[in-house]
Amino acid sequence: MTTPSPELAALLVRIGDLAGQATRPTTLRAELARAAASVRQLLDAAACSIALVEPDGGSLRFFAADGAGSQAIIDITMPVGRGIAGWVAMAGQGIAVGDVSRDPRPARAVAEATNYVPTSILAVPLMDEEGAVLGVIEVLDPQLGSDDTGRALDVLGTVGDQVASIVRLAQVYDNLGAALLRALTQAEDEAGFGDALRELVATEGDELAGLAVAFHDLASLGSDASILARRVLEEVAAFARSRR
Amino acid sequence: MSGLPAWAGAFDPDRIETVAALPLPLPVRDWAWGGATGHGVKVAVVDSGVEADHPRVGGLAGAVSIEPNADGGTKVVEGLHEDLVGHGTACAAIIRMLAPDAKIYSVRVLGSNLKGRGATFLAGIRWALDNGIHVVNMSLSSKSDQWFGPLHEIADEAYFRNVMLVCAANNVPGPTYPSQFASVFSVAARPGSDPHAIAYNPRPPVEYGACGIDVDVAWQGGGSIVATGNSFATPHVAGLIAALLSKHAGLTPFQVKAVLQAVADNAEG
Repeated sequence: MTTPSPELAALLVRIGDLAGQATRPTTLRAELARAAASVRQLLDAAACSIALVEPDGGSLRFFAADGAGSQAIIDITMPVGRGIAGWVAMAGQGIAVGDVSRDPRPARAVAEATNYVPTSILAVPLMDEEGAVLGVIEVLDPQLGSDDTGRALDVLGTVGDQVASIVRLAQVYDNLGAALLRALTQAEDEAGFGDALRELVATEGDELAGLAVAFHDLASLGSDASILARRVLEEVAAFARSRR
Repeated sequence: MSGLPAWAGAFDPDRIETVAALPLPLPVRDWAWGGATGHGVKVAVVDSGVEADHPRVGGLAGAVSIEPNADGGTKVVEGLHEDLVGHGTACAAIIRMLAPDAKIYSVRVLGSNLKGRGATFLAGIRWALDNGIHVVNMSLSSKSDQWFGPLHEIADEAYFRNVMLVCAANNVPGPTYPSQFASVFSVAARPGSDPHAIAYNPRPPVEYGACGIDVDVAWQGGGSIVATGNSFATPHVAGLIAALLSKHAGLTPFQVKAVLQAVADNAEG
Protein backbone atom coordinates (compact mmCIF):
# COMPACT_ATOMS: atom_id res chain seq x y z
CA MET A 1 0.00 0.00 0.00
CA THR A 2 1.23 3.48 -0.85
CA THR A 3 1.85 6.31 1.58
CA PRO A 4 0.07 9.33 0.12
CA SER A 5 1.33 12.85 0.62
CA PRO A 6 -0.21 14.81 3.53
CA GLU A 7 -2.12 16.90 1.02
CA LEU A 8 -3.61 13.87 -0.72
CA ALA A 9 -4.27 12.11 2.59
CA ALA A 10 -6.24 15.12 3.84
CA LEU A 11 -8.24 15.15 0.65
CA LEU A 12 -9.00 11.43 0.96
CA VAL A 13 -10.14 11.88 4.54
CA ARG A 14 -12.45 14.67 3.45
CA ILE A 15 -13.87 12.59 0.59
CA GLY A 16 -14.38 9.71 2.99
CA ASP A 17 -16.22 11.96 5.45
CA LEU A 18 -18.43 13.28 2.71
CA ALA A 19 -19.18 9.81 1.44
CA GLY A 20 -20.06 8.68 4.92
CA GLN A 21 -22.36 11.60 5.59
CA ALA A 22 -24.09 11.25 2.28
CA THR A 23 -24.53 7.54 2.40
CA ARG A 24 -25.27 6.63 6.00
CA PRO A 25 -28.19 4.21 5.69
CA THR A 26 -30.35 6.42 7.88
CA THR A 27 -30.04 9.19 5.33
CA LEU A 28 -31.30 7.13 2.41
CA ARG A 29 -33.91 5.54 4.63
CA ALA A 30 -35.07 8.95 5.77
CA GLU A 31 -35.33 10.24 2.21
CA LEU A 32 -37.21 7.16 1.04
CA ALA A 33 -39.47 7.18 4.10
CA ARG A 34 -40.45 10.75 3.26
CA ALA A 35 -41.13 9.71 -0.33
CA ALA A 36 -43.26 6.77 0.83
CA ALA A 37 -45.26 9.02 3.15
CA SER A 38 -45.85 11.53 0.35
CA VAL A 39 -46.99 8.86 -2.09
CA ARG A 40 -49.31 7.35 0.50
CA GLN A 41 -50.90 10.73 1.14
CA LEU A 42 -51.08 11.53 -2.58
CA LEU A 43 -53.03 8.35 -3.32
CA ASP A 44 -54.87 8.21 0.02
CA ALA A 45 -53.54 4.69 0.44
CA ALA A 46 -53.33 2.34 3.41
CA ALA A 47 -49.58 1.93 2.96
CA CYS A 48 -46.67 2.63 0.66
CA SER A 49 -43.37 0.80 0.65
CA ILE A 50 -40.12 1.04 -1.26
CA ALA A 51 -38.08 -2.12 -1.83
CA LEU A 52 -34.58 -2.09 -3.30
CA VAL A 53 -32.86 -4.80 -5.30
CA GLU A 54 -30.22 -6.63 -3.28
CA PRO A 55 -26.70 -6.67 -4.76
CA ASP A 56 -27.03 -10.31 -5.85
CA GLY A 57 -29.98 -9.37 -8.07
CA GLY A 58 -32.08 -12.20 -6.69
CA SER A 59 -34.22 -10.47 -4.09
CA LEU A 60 -35.90 -7.25 -3.04
CA ARG A 61 -35.46 -5.78 0.45
CA PHE A 62 -38.07 -3.42 1.85
CA PHE A 63 -36.10 -0.32 2.74
CA ALA A 64 -38.72 2.24 3.69
CA ALA A 65 -42.46 2.26 4.30
CA ASP A 66 -45.32 4.33 5.59
CA GLY A 67 -48.77 3.33 6.81
CA ALA A 68 -50.21 -0.04 7.76
CA GLY A 69 -47.56 -2.54 8.80
CA SER A 70 -44.76 -0.14 7.89
CA GLN A 71 -42.51 -0.93 10.85
CA ALA A 72 -42.86 -4.67 10.47
CA ILE A 73 -42.05 -4.73 6.79
CA ILE A 74 -38.68 -3.00 6.99
CA ASP A 75 -35.77 -5.28 6.00
CA ILE A 76 -38.02 -8.12 4.92
CA THR A 77 -36.71 -9.66 1.71
CA MET A 78 -38.56 -11.50 -1.02
CA PRO A 79 -37.35 -13.17 -4.22
CA VAL A 80 -37.64 -11.15 -7.44
CA GLY A 81 -38.98 -14.20 -9.21
CA ARG A 82 -42.25 -14.12 -7.28
CA GLY A 83 -45.10 -11.79 -6.57
CA ILE A 84 -46.31 -8.60 -8.10
CA ALA A 85 -43.34 -6.52 -6.96
CA GLY A 86 -41.06 -9.20 -8.37
CA TRP A 87 -42.80 -9.12 -11.72
CA VAL A 88 -42.60 -5.32 -11.81
CA ALA A 89 -38.86 -5.49 -11.14
CA MET A 90 -38.30 -8.23 -13.72
CA ALA A 91 -40.51 -6.74 -16.42
CA GLY A 92 -39.63 -3.10 -15.77
CA GLN A 93 -43.33 -2.29 -16.06
CA GLY A 94 -45.87 -0.82 -13.70
CA ILE A 95 -49.17 -2.57 -13.00
CA ALA A 96 -52.16 -2.27 -10.74
CA VAL A 97 -53.83 -5.40 -9.42
CA GLY A 98 -57.11 -5.65 -7.56
CA ASP A 99 -58.66 -8.52 -5.66
CA VAL A 100 -55.22 -9.73 -4.63
CA SER A 101 -56.75 -11.41 -1.59
CA ARG A 102 -58.10 -14.02 -4.02
CA ASP A 103 -54.54 -15.19 -4.50
CA PRO A 104 -52.62 -14.90 -1.23
CA ARG A 105 -49.42 -16.48 -2.49
CA PRO A 106 -47.61 -13.45 -3.89
CA ALA A 107 -47.86 -11.37 -0.73
CA ARG A 108 -47.93 -14.12 1.87
CA ALA A 109 -44.60 -13.34 3.49
CA VAL A 110 -45.33 -9.66 3.61
CA ALA A 111 -48.90 -10.14 4.81
CA GLU A 112 -47.78 -12.48 7.59
CA ALA A 113 -45.15 -10.02 8.74
CA THR A 114 -47.36 -6.96 8.66
CA ASN A 115 -50.67 -8.57 9.60
CA TYR A 116 -52.20 -6.59 6.76
CA VAL A 117 -53.67 -8.18 3.63
CA PRO A 118 -54.38 -5.60 0.93
CA THR A 119 -57.19 -5.71 -1.56
CA SER A 120 -55.37 -3.83 -4.30
CA ILE A 121 -51.77 -3.03 -5.17
CA LEU A 122 -50.15 -0.43 -7.43
CA ALA A 123 -46.51 -1.03 -8.23
CA VAL A 124 -43.93 0.62 -10.49
CA PRO A 125 -40.22 0.00 -10.97
CA LEU A 126 -37.41 2.33 -9.92
CA MET A 127 -34.92 2.52 -12.76
CA ASP A 128 -31.66 4.38 -13.06
CA GLU A 129 -30.52 6.38 -16.06
CA GLU A 130 -28.91 3.33 -17.62
CA GLY A 131 -32.10 1.31 -17.31
CA ALA A 132 -31.06 -0.94 -14.45
CA VAL A 133 -33.90 -1.76 -12.08
CA LEU A 134 -33.05 -0.41 -8.61
CA GLY A 135 -36.25 -1.35 -6.84
CA VAL A 136 -40.01 -1.10 -6.70
CA ILE A 137 -42.56 1.27 -5.15
CA GLU A 138 -45.67 -0.51 -3.95
CA VAL A 139 -48.88 1.21 -2.87
CA LEU A 140 -51.49 -0.79 -0.96
CA ASP A 141 -55.19 -0.04 -1.23
CA PRO A 142 -55.12 3.41 -2.83
CA GLN A 143 -58.47 5.18 -2.80
CA LEU A 144 -59.11 5.74 -6.49
CA GLY A 145 -62.15 6.62 -8.53
CA SER A 146 -63.47 4.17 -11.08
CA ASP A 147 -61.45 5.64 -13.95
CA ASP A 148 -58.40 6.79 -12.02
CA THR A 149 -56.23 3.67 -11.96
CA GLY A 150 -54.46 4.34 -15.24
CA ARG A 151 -53.72 7.92 -14.29
CA ALA A 152 -52.49 6.82 -10.86
CA LEU A 153 -50.01 4.46 -12.51
CA ASP A 154 -48.69 7.30 -14.66
CA VAL A 155 -48.29 9.54 -11.62
CA LEU A 156 -46.62 6.79 -9.61
CA GLY A 157 -44.27 6.08 -12.51
CA THR A 158 -43.23 9.71 -12.56
CA VAL A 159 -42.71 9.81 -8.80
CA GLY A 160 -40.72 6.60 -9.13
CA ASP A 161 -38.43 8.32 -11.58
CA GLN A 162 -37.57 10.90 -8.92
CA VAL A 163 -37.17 8.35 -6.14
CA ALA A 164 -34.83 6.38 -8.37
CA SER A 165 -32.60 9.45 -8.61
CA ILE A 166 -32.27 9.53 -4.81
CA VAL A 167 -31.36 5.85 -4.73
CA ARG A 168 -28.94 6.21 -7.58
CA LEU A 169 -27.12 9.12 -5.94
CA ALA A 170 -26.83 7.27 -2.65
CA GLN A 171 -25.44 4.19 -4.38
CA VAL A 172 -22.92 6.28 -6.27
CA TYR A 173 -21.52 7.73 -3.04
CA ASP A 174 -21.78 4.38 -1.37
CA ASN A 175 -19.21 3.07 -3.80
CA LEU A 176 -16.80 5.97 -3.36
CA GLY A 177 -15.02 4.75 -0.27
CA ALA A 178 -14.58 1.29 -1.73
CA ALA A 179 -13.17 2.70 -4.97
CA LEU A 180 -10.67 4.85 -3.12
CA LEU A 181 -9.58 2.00 -0.87
CA ARG A 182 -9.08 -0.34 -3.81
CA ALA A 183 -7.04 2.30 -5.63
CA LEU A 184 -4.88 2.91 -2.57
CA THR A 185 -4.15 -0.74 -1.99
CA GLN A 186 -3.23 -1.25 -5.63
CA ALA A 187 -0.93 1.78 -5.90
CA GLU A 188 2.83 1.70 -5.37
CA ASP A 189 3.18 5.47 -5.02
CA GLU A 190 1.17 8.64 -5.43
CA ALA A 191 1.41 8.63 -9.22
CA GLY A 192 0.32 5.02 -9.14
CA PHE A 193 -2.71 6.01 -7.09
CA GLY A 194 -3.98 8.16 -9.95
CA ASP A 195 -3.24 5.39 -12.42
CA ALA A 196 -5.09 2.87 -10.26
CA LEU A 197 -8.13 5.14 -10.08
CA ARG A 198 -8.13 5.52 -13.86
CA GLU A 199 -7.88 1.77 -14.23
CA LEU A 200 -10.93 1.41 -12.00
CA VAL A 201 -12.82 3.76 -14.29
CA ALA A 202 -11.74 1.83 -17.37
CA THR A 203 -12.51 -1.60 -16.00
CA GLU A 204 -15.69 -0.91 -14.07
CA GLY A 205 -17.08 2.29 -15.53
CA ASP A 206 -17.43 3.41 -11.93
CA GLU A 207 -18.72 6.97 -11.84
CA LEU A 208 -17.45 7.37 -8.30
CA ALA A 209 -13.98 6.38 -9.33
CA GLY A 210 -14.32 9.07 -11.99
CA LEU A 211 -15.19 11.60 -9.30
CA ALA A 212 -12.24 10.48 -7.22
CA VAL A 213 -9.96 10.86 -10.25
CA ALA A 214 -11.23 14.39 -10.79
CA PHE A 215 -10.41 15.40 -7.20
CA HIS A 216 -7.09 13.63 -7.32
CA ASP A 217 -6.16 15.49 -10.50
CA LEU A 218 -7.28 18.77 -8.98
CA ALA A 219 -5.17 18.15 -5.90
CA SER A 220 -2.15 17.33 -8.03
CA LEU A 221 -2.29 20.79 -9.62
CA GLY A 222 -0.93 22.34 -6.45
CA SER A 223 -1.87 23.62 -3.04
CA ASP A 224 -4.33 26.27 -4.23
CA ALA A 225 -6.27 23.75 -6.30
CA SER A 226 -6.17 21.31 -3.40
CA ILE A 227 -7.65 23.95 -1.09
CA LEU A 228 -10.36 24.60 -3.66
CA ALA A 229 -11.15 20.86 -3.83
CA ARG A 230 -11.42 20.66 -0.05
CA ARG A 231 -13.68 23.72 0.09
CA VAL A 232 -15.98 22.23 -2.52
CA LEU A 233 -16.18 19.01 -0.53
CA GLU A 234 -16.79 20.85 2.72
CA GLU A 235 -19.62 22.84 1.19
CA VAL A 236 -21.22 19.70 -0.17
CA ALA A 237 -20.81 18.00 3.21
CA ALA A 238 -22.44 20.98 4.93
CA PHE A 239 -25.27 20.79 2.45
CA ALA A 240 -25.67 17.06 3.11
CA ARG A 241 -25.82 17.76 6.87
CA SER A 242 -28.46 20.45 6.40
CA ARG A 243 -30.61 18.03 4.43
CA ARG A 244 -31.05 15.69 7.40
CA MET B 1 -39.98 16.85 -11.51
CA SER B 2 -40.14 15.38 -14.98
CA GLY B 3 -43.58 15.17 -16.55
CA LEU B 4 -45.89 12.28 -17.05
CA PRO B 5 -45.21 9.95 -19.99
CA ALA B 6 -45.70 11.80 -23.27
CA TRP B 7 -48.62 9.57 -24.23
CA ALA B 8 -50.40 9.90 -20.88
CA GLY B 9 -53.88 11.20 -21.57
CA ALA B 10 -53.51 10.72 -25.33
CA PHE B 11 -56.37 8.21 -25.30
CA ASP B 12 -58.73 10.14 -23.05
CA PRO B 13 -62.09 10.18 -24.83
CA ASP B 14 -62.35 13.95 -24.36
CA ARG B 15 -58.92 14.67 -25.79
CA ILE B 16 -58.28 12.15 -28.51
CA GLU B 17 -57.88 13.50 -32.02
CA THR B 18 -59.60 12.14 -35.09
CA VAL B 19 -57.29 10.51 -37.63
CA ALA B 20 -57.67 9.90 -41.37
CA ALA B 21 -57.55 6.20 -42.20
CA LEU B 22 -57.49 3.99 -45.29
CA PRO B 23 -60.97 3.44 -46.81
CA LEU B 24 -61.27 -0.26 -46.03
CA PRO B 25 -64.60 -2.05 -46.69
CA LEU B 26 -67.31 -1.16 -44.17
CA PRO B 27 -67.93 -2.09 -41.50
CA VAL B 28 -64.18 -2.22 -41.06
CA ARG B 29 -64.23 -4.40 -37.94
CA ASP B 30 -66.18 -7.08 -39.81
CA TRP B 31 -63.81 -6.87 -42.73
CA ALA B 32 -60.81 -7.12 -40.41
CA TRP B 33 -61.77 -9.97 -38.12
CA GLY B 34 -65.41 -10.88 -38.55
CA GLY B 35 -65.57 -14.66 -38.20
CA ALA B 36 -61.82 -14.89 -37.63
CA THR B 37 -60.58 -17.36 -35.03
CA GLY B 38 -56.82 -17.02 -35.14
CA HIS B 39 -56.58 -20.44 -36.83
CA GLY B 40 -53.11 -21.11 -38.21
CA VAL B 41 -51.50 -18.18 -36.41
CA LYS B 42 -48.71 -18.70 -33.88
CA VAL B 43 -48.51 -16.28 -30.98
CA ALA B 44 -45.69 -16.15 -28.44
CA VAL B 45 -46.22 -14.73 -24.96
CA VAL B 46 -42.81 -13.49 -23.81
CA ASP B 47 -43.34 -13.10 -20.08
CA SER B 48 -43.31 -14.86 -16.70
CA GLY B 49 -44.54 -18.19 -18.10
CA VAL B 50 -48.08 -19.38 -18.79
CA GLU B 51 -50.26 -21.75 -16.77
CA ALA B 52 -51.24 -24.09 -19.62
CA ASP B 53 -54.13 -25.75 -17.81
CA HIS B 54 -55.79 -22.53 -16.72
CA PRO B 55 -59.40 -22.72 -17.98
CA ARG B 56 -59.09 -19.38 -19.72
CA VAL B 57 -55.86 -20.37 -21.48
CA GLY B 58 -57.09 -23.71 -22.76
CA GLY B 59 -53.72 -25.29 -23.43
CA LEU B 60 -50.52 -24.28 -25.14
CA ALA B 61 -48.96 -25.30 -28.43
CA GLY B 62 -45.54 -25.18 -26.81
CA ALA B 63 -43.43 -23.68 -24.07
CA VAL B 64 -39.80 -22.77 -23.56
CA SER B 65 -37.93 -21.09 -20.76
CA ILE B 66 -34.96 -18.87 -21.52
CA GLU B 67 -32.47 -19.12 -18.70
CA PRO B 68 -29.11 -17.47 -18.08
CA ASN B 69 -25.94 -19.51 -18.40
CA ALA B 70 -23.03 -19.32 -16.04
CA ASP B 71 -20.93 -17.82 -18.87
CA GLY B 72 -23.28 -14.86 -19.32
CA GLY B 73 -25.14 -16.39 -22.25
CA THR B 74 -28.54 -18.01 -22.31
CA LYS B 75 -29.98 -21.46 -22.84
CA VAL B 76 -33.39 -22.63 -24.01
CA VAL B 77 -35.19 -25.18 -21.81
CA GLU B 78 -38.13 -26.80 -23.61
CA GLY B 79 -41.27 -28.03 -21.90
CA LEU B 80 -44.20 -26.77 -19.90
CA HIS B 81 -43.43 -24.63 -16.90
CA GLU B 82 -45.29 -22.76 -14.19
CA ASP B 83 -46.17 -19.10 -14.36
CA LEU B 84 -44.01 -17.47 -11.71
CA VAL B 85 -46.46 -14.67 -11.09
CA GLY B 86 -49.63 -14.91 -13.16
CA HIS B 87 -48.98 -12.14 -15.64
CA GLY B 88 -48.12 -14.37 -18.59
CA THR B 89 -51.26 -16.40 -17.93
CA ALA B 90 -53.30 -13.19 -17.99
CA CYS B 91 -51.85 -12.25 -21.38
CA ALA B 92 -52.36 -15.72 -22.88
CA ALA B 93 -55.99 -15.78 -21.74
CA ILE B 94 -56.71 -12.40 -23.33
CA ILE B 95 -55.20 -13.60 -26.60
CA ARG B 96 -57.23 -16.83 -26.37
CA MET B 97 -60.41 -14.79 -25.90
CA LEU B 98 -59.79 -12.78 -29.09
CA ALA B 99 -58.21 -15.50 -31.21
CA PRO B 100 -59.53 -18.81 -29.78
CA ASP B 101 -57.86 -21.08 -32.35
CA ALA B 102 -54.45 -19.43 -32.31
CA LYS B 103 -51.46 -21.55 -31.34
CA ILE B 104 -50.11 -19.93 -28.20
CA TYR B 105 -46.54 -20.50 -27.05
CA SER B 106 -45.15 -19.50 -23.68
CA VAL B 107 -41.65 -18.03 -23.84
CA ARG B 108 -40.62 -17.49 -20.24
CA VAL B 109 -37.86 -14.91 -19.99
CA LEU B 110 -38.43 -13.72 -16.44
CA GLY B 111 -36.68 -15.77 -13.83
CA SER B 112 -35.21 -15.65 -10.39
CA ASN B 113 -32.53 -13.01 -10.88
CA LEU B 114 -32.38 -9.55 -12.43
CA LYS B 115 -28.86 -10.11 -13.70
CA GLY B 116 -28.97 -11.17 -17.31
CA ARG B 117 -32.48 -9.82 -17.72
CA GLY B 118 -31.68 -8.05 -21.01
CA ALA B 119 -30.00 -11.11 -22.47
CA THR B 120 -32.92 -13.43 -21.71
CA PHE B 121 -35.37 -10.89 -23.05
CA LEU B 122 -33.45 -10.65 -26.32
CA ALA B 123 -33.06 -14.44 -26.53
CA GLY B 124 -36.81 -14.84 -26.09
CA ILE B 125 -37.48 -12.67 -29.14
CA ARG B 126 -34.80 -14.58 -31.04
CA TRP B 127 -36.52 -17.87 -30.21
CA ALA B 128 -39.79 -16.50 -31.57
CA LEU B 129 -38.16 -15.40 -34.82
CA ASP B 130 -36.42 -18.74 -35.28
CA ASN B 131 -39.57 -20.79 -34.64
CA GLY B 132 -42.07 -19.37 -37.09
CA ILE B 133 -44.00 -17.21 -34.63
CA HIS B 134 -46.27 -14.66 -36.32
CA VAL B 135 -47.17 -12.44 -33.36
CA VAL B 136 -45.03 -11.78 -30.27
CA ASN B 137 -46.66 -10.34 -27.16
CA MET B 138 -44.18 -8.46 -25.02
CA SER B 139 -45.55 -6.83 -21.91
CA LEU B 140 -41.97 -6.01 -21.01
CA SER B 141 -39.49 -3.30 -21.79
CA SER B 142 -35.99 -2.11 -21.10
CA LYS B 143 -34.62 1.38 -20.51
CA SER B 144 -31.07 0.17 -20.85
CA ASP B 145 -28.92 1.91 -23.40
CA GLN B 146 -26.88 -1.28 -23.49
CA TRP B 147 -29.81 -3.09 -25.06
CA PHE B 148 -30.97 -0.33 -27.38
CA GLY B 149 -28.85 -1.55 -30.27
CA PRO B 150 -29.51 -5.29 -30.00
CA LEU B 151 -33.25 -4.77 -29.48
CA HIS B 152 -33.43 -2.30 -32.36
CA GLU B 153 -31.64 -4.74 -34.62
CA ILE B 154 -33.88 -7.67 -33.79
CA ALA B 155 -37.02 -5.49 -34.03
CA ASP B 156 -36.00 -4.49 -37.54
CA GLU B 157 -35.36 -8.14 -38.40
CA ALA B 158 -38.82 -9.05 -37.15
CA TYR B 159 -40.38 -6.27 -39.18
CA PHE B 160 -38.75 -7.42 -42.40
CA ARG B 161 -39.75 -11.03 -41.67
CA ASN B 162 -43.41 -10.06 -41.11
CA VAL B 163 -43.30 -10.91 -37.43
CA MET B 164 -45.49 -8.57 -35.41
CA LEU B 165 -43.82 -7.43 -32.18
CA VAL B 166 -46.53 -6.05 -29.91
CA CYS B 167 -44.95 -4.13 -27.03
CA ALA B 168 -46.25 -2.42 -23.91
CA ALA B 169 -45.44 1.24 -23.43
CA ASN B 170 -44.00 2.13 -20.02
CA ASN B 171 -45.48 4.34 -17.30
CA VAL B 172 -42.01 5.48 -16.33
CA PRO B 173 -40.98 8.69 -18.14
CA GLY B 174 -38.40 8.45 -20.89
CA PRO B 175 -37.87 6.05 -23.78
CA THR B 176 -38.12 2.31 -23.27
CA TYR B 177 -37.23 -0.39 -25.74
CA PRO B 178 -38.48 -1.93 -27.94
CA SER B 179 -41.77 -0.07 -27.45
CA GLN B 180 -40.08 3.11 -28.70
CA PHE B 181 -39.24 1.66 -32.11
CA ALA B 182 -41.26 2.33 -35.28
CA SER B 183 -40.98 -1.32 -36.26
CA VAL B 184 -43.18 -2.53 -33.38
CA PHE B 185 -46.77 -2.07 -32.27
CA SER B 186 -46.55 0.10 -29.16
CA VAL B 187 -49.58 -0.14 -26.89
CA ALA B 188 -50.95 1.74 -23.86
CA ALA B 189 -54.04 1.15 -21.76
CA ARG B 190 -57.12 3.26 -22.23
CA PRO B 191 -60.53 3.35 -20.58
CA GLY B 192 -63.27 1.08 -21.86
CA SER B 193 -64.45 -2.48 -21.57
CA ASP B 194 -64.79 -3.50 -25.25
CA PRO B 195 -61.89 -5.90 -25.91
CA HIS B 196 -62.16 -5.25 -29.66
CA ALA B 197 -61.94 -1.45 -29.33
CA ILE B 198 -58.74 0.29 -30.37
CA ALA B 199 -57.74 3.94 -30.54
CA TYR B 200 -54.92 5.36 -32.62
CA ASN B 201 -52.60 8.01 -31.21
CA PRO B 202 -51.50 10.39 -33.99
CA ARG B 203 -48.55 11.43 -31.83
CA PRO B 204 -46.37 8.29 -31.59
CA PRO B 205 -44.23 6.49 -30.52
CA VAL B 206 -47.13 4.98 -28.55
CA GLU B 207 -49.55 4.26 -31.41
CA TYR B 208 -52.38 2.13 -30.08
CA GLY B 209 -54.64 2.33 -27.06
CA ALA B 210 -56.60 -0.75 -26.00
CA CYS B 211 -58.58 -2.17 -23.12
CA GLY B 212 -56.28 -2.30 -20.09
CA ILE B 213 -57.83 -0.49 -17.15
CA ASP B 214 -59.61 -2.47 -14.45
CA VAL B 215 -59.96 -5.55 -16.64
CA ASP B 216 -60.79 -9.01 -15.34
CA VAL B 217 -57.84 -11.23 -16.20
CA ALA B 218 -56.74 -14.79 -15.59
CA TRP B 219 -54.10 -15.30 -12.90
CA GLN B 220 -52.02 -18.11 -11.46
CA GLY B 221 -53.64 -20.94 -9.58
CA GLY B 222 -56.52 -21.08 -12.01
CA GLY B 223 -57.86 -17.82 -10.64
CA SER B 224 -58.56 -14.35 -11.89
CA ILE B 225 -58.05 -10.78 -10.69
CA VAL B 226 -58.86 -7.25 -11.78
CA ALA B 227 -55.81 -5.52 -13.20
CA THR B 228 -54.64 -2.32 -14.85
CA GLY B 229 -51.62 -1.61 -16.98
CA ASN B 230 -50.27 -1.20 -20.46
CA SER B 231 -49.13 -4.78 -20.12
CA PHE B 232 -52.77 -5.91 -20.16
CA ALA B 233 -53.69 -3.71 -23.13
CA THR B 234 -50.86 -5.23 -25.16
CA PRO B 235 -52.31 -8.77 -25.44
CA HIS B 236 -55.59 -7.27 -26.60
CA VAL B 237 -53.79 -5.85 -29.63
CA ALA B 238 -51.78 -9.06 -30.06
CA GLY B 239 -54.98 -11.11 -30.03
CA LEU B 240 -56.68 -8.85 -32.54
CA ILE B 241 -53.65 -9.05 -34.82
CA ALA B 242 -53.72 -12.86 -34.57
CA ALA B 243 -57.39 -12.86 -35.56
CA LEU B 244 -56.69 -10.46 -38.43
CA LEU B 245 -53.83 -12.59 -39.76
CA SER B 246 -55.96 -15.73 -39.68
CA LYS B 247 -58.41 -14.04 -42.01
CA HIS B 248 -55.95 -12.01 -44.10
CA ALA B 249 -52.81 -14.11 -44.19
CA GLY B 250 -49.57 -12.58 -45.32
CA LEU B 251 -50.20 -9.00 -44.25
CA THR B 252 -47.04 -7.08 -43.49
CA PRO B 253 -46.52 -5.07 -40.28
CA PHE B 254 -47.17 -1.79 -42.10
CA GLN B 255 -50.40 -3.20 -43.53
CA VAL B 256 -51.51 -4.45 -40.14
CA LYS B 257 -50.75 -1.05 -38.64
CA ALA B 258 -52.94 0.57 -41.30
CA VAL B 259 -55.81 -1.84 -40.56
CA LEU B 260 -55.57 -1.19 -36.82
CA GLN B 261 -55.68 2.52 -37.53
CA ALA B 262 -58.71 2.04 -39.79
CA VAL B 263 -60.65 0.13 -37.13
CA ALA B 264 -59.76 2.68 -34.45
CA ASP B 265 -62.61 4.39 -32.66
CA ASN B 266 -61.16 7.77 -33.59
CA ALA B 267 -60.66 6.95 -37.30
CA GLU B 268 -62.54 8.63 -40.10
CA GLY B 269 -62.41 8.04 -43.82
